Amino acid sequence: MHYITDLLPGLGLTMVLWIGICVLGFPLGLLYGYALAIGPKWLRVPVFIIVNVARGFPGLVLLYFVYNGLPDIGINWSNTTSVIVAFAFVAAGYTAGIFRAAINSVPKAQHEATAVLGLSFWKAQRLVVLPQAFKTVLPPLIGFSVVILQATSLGYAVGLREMTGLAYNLGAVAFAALPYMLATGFIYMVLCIAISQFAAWIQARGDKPKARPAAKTAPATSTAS
Amino acid sequence: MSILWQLLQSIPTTLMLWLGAQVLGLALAIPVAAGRMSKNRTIRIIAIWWIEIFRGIPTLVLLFIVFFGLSVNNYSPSAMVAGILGLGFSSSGYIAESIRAGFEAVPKQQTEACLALSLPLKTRLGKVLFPQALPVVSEGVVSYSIHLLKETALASLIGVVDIMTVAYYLVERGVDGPTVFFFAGMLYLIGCTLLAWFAHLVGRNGPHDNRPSLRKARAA
Repeated sequence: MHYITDLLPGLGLTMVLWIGICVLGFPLGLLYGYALAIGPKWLRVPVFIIVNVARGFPGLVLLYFVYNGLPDIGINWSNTTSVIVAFAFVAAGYTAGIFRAAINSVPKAQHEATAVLGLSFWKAQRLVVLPQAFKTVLPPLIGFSVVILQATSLGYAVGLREMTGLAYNLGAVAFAALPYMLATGFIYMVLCIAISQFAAWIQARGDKPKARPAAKTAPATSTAS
Repeated sequence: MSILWQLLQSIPTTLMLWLGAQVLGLALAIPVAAGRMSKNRTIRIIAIWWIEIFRGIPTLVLLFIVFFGLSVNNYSPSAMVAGILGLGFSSSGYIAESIRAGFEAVPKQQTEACLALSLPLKTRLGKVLFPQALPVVSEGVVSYSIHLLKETALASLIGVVDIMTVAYYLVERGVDGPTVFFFAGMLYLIGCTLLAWFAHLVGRNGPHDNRPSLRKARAA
């Protein structure tokens, strides 16, 4: 049992990486999504290339690129920053498709309606498009965050002492590599199952028809007619 | 140019990892998927745990577990064997889920019709359910296969000398980092693109249209 408790300090760093990647990567993915969904062609093409690089390069290559490659052109980032930047780039690439689909799923008539009502572009996005897109996007995003959580284990490759790196070090010191690795795997597994269950719960809740606060909007529509 | 040449020379290792893991993953996934859909509760629960365990543990950790775990009993597997085992086991969970998704996509009435006609199990699975499940199954398997090609990069961390290891050594020896890693990444990207393209070619006039009913309709 002490194998698991020994790893808890590493779990802290793993969580920091995980949250850092999500906080940096998802908004970037949203921007990509906008560029792909409604952007002009000169923007769509480069974003399309960036997204394909993020999805086609292995995570380890991108991590080495940032950590071992970028110093050659004068960018020196710590290993924590490197992991966050590299995987935020990956996360943005993968979520771009999710966001694009969500933005496209809002019916075109609504875009036109906001234009007719004279809403500015950003106001229309904030009040009409994003709240609807958000609901579609949430379950796949949470599902994808499981992949990110697992990807943080690559921090080991750049000498980070997150859970995998710590397990490796402790295992090497105590000549107990296998028990520490099994304990790490166990913790990751529990976290992943918990997150997936949470995503499934959100999805199930969103599927219920009464989730929309219909009562609030009812008076507004009646006065409009 | 010599940089590219040295990277290219390690492509066979990467491909061997990929192919080995793919074959092992498929071989393991078939019984797991069958167990997942079994009527026997115990078998089903074992299969569910198999899937949750191998999907829940990061591939890198799994590689370490296999690498260290097999080294214990005075038998030290080569890094290559450990790499194929680790990647294969991790794929088995994902592939089993795609197989299940494929079979669940087939309408339940098909099974009921087979039972009503009292077709033998072999015919029911081989001639009715499987051909209809195939498009969904192959889609899932192909997309995981593309993912698996990128995952093989992790085997470099347990000592397999693949594209990544060579790239890393080159940079250690002072070759320009961004260039080397960009080349290495492009090799994987090209591999993934070729795979997707190949799957598209095969899929176009393969499983999608290969349902017995359609075949017969075309022949008529």
